[in-house]
Amino acid sequence: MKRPLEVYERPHCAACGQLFTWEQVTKEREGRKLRFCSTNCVKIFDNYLLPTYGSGLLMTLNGSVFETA
Amino acid sequence: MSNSTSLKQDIENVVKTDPFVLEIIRNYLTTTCEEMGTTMMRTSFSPIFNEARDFIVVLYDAEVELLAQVDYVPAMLGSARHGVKLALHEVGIDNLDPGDVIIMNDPYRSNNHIPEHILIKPVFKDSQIVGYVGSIAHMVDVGGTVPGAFGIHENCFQEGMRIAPVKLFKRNQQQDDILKLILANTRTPEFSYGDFMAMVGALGRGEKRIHDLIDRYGLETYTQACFDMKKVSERLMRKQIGSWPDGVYEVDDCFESDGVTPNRNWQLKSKLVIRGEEMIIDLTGSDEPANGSMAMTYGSSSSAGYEAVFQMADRDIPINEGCYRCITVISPYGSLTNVNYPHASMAGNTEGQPVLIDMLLRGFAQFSDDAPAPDGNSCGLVALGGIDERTNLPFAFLSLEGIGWGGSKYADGNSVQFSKLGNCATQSIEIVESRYPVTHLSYEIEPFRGGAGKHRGGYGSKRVMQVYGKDLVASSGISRCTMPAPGLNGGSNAAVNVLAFKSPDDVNWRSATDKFGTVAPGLFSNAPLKPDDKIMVITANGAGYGDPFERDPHAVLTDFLDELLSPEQAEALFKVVISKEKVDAAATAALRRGTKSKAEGVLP
Repeated sequence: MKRPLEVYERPHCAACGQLFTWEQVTKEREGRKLRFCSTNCVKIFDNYLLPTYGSGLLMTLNGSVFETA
Repeated sequence: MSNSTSLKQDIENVVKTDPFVLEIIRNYLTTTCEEMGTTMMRTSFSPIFNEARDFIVVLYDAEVELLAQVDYVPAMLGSARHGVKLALHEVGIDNLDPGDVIIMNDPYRSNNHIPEHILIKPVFKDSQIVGYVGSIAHMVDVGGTVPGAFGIHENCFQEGMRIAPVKLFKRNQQQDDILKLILANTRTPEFSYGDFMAMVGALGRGEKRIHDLIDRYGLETYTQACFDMKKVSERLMRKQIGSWPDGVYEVDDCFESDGVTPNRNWQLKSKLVIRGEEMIIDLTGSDEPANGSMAMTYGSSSSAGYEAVFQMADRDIPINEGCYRCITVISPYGSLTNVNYPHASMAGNTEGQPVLIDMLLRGFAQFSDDAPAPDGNSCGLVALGGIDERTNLPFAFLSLEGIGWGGSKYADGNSVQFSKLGNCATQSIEIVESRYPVTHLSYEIEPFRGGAGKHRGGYGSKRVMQVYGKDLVASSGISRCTMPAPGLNGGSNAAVNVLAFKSPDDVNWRSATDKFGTVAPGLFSNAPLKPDDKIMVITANGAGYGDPFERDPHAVLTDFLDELLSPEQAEALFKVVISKEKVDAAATAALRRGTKSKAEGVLP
């Protein structure tokens, strides 16, 4: 498997925003596959971020939080 | 059953280690960190290490979770928690051998900013990783466009050399190729080499102490104790958060300038969200990353979040991974509080983090009297560089300052103390002048300039210095020069920070905007200096807490007798009449009876 060499090729968490280099958690929300650094951040996304900011939140997130094919 | 009894039983239920053994191991780990810190101070080359203590050392368990730390610089909490884990996983836990040391300074990898270098060493016992020892420290010069690093940059490449996680040592063998690459990219390789070796020495000391501990108690007991101490801290922190009222506490503020973009400030938004025993610090909605380096990394903004919570929490809660489990910092990637590649972030840490910490504390102040008013919100960093004619080699000197802390419900703010993000000391003048071509003409507490309150803000300082040599330049990363930090509960705003220059042909002191045409008075790079030019830094008073007209008149008199407050200021700002070096009680009472509005922080 190709290992990305630079930070802009690496995933960021869709909830907390941090870059992470360990195994990611991927969840589909609002039709998009999102990357999370932990199950806690999935919980934060579902229970806080989405209810607070609505589905429009996804439009504001950096592209590096989305799983690409 | 009382709450404390319930909590005690709750903790006893989750802890399997003998409580006496648990406390011995916990304190042993903490004193190990202190010993590692002392090792660094006694063996490093740079005053920013051995005088200012701009570093931390941290111990981790086998899961790369925080066990103990020395609390010299709370600003590095985020790097210690996020950057270290990230670097180790990037190198690969399976790729680590005994005696390896990883180095990393990349701001995009949850480090605070480029000058701070993270060194991590795995601790092995019988071919098994049982933990890690880490050191995070500020190197004065990291190459880039500015000697001493602090000025204004428009991308990370101007800031200095980024180091992705690589091995500086393999099986206790120094990797000369890596070290040469790093040292070739700093103006002060001798200092940097000595400082790196001090860090490596400290790691070795920590590794030995963990071995000693395991030899004494056995790996099983040690591992269980590590698990238990985190559980205890988690339980205590959850209890603490649970004692605060549920709610969303919002505070907005801004960075007054990025040093690059004229006439623009950069908006920050924060929400403290308390839900039962969990807390979210949400920075969503802040502006995009600034064009200059007044923008924060995830390491820096998460540090601010953790630090604000820990400042408000019970001081007796041992800080380790357990405390963090109930705190989440949301800092969207590609924003002012979590810059995306290749945005600059140098000043966002030192000047941005104090602003963010105090924003969050103002959020706490919405439900707690314990939150203090903001401090002067600056580290007062002035970087001087050029050629030292004594050696004909480049030099880079970073001057840091104490500011006034904010007043609180309990007391006046501390005076001339490093901002809350770090417990750094100001470097002693004698040491500085022995290492660098710098001379101090004066250094003193600056009389009252702001922060009136029932408990006033602490005082700032005034420093005047000259620098000698060839090709001299001055750079600065000082903010809060035009927009002071706000007072709390009726207290007046803090003062602003002042940076000024005076050449022999100047009649008056001149700001950098006036003398050099910079965008901001405290955020600029490489202003050319001549040897006879003088540099003056006046740091801000902290903000005031409470109505200044309720201040004890004798406390006002004390400031007058200390020559820090004029009688006119005493009367105008505190409604205290001083006559013949005494409080005129009758006149003061009459003046205060006639007062209908609170002070507005306007100086006479």
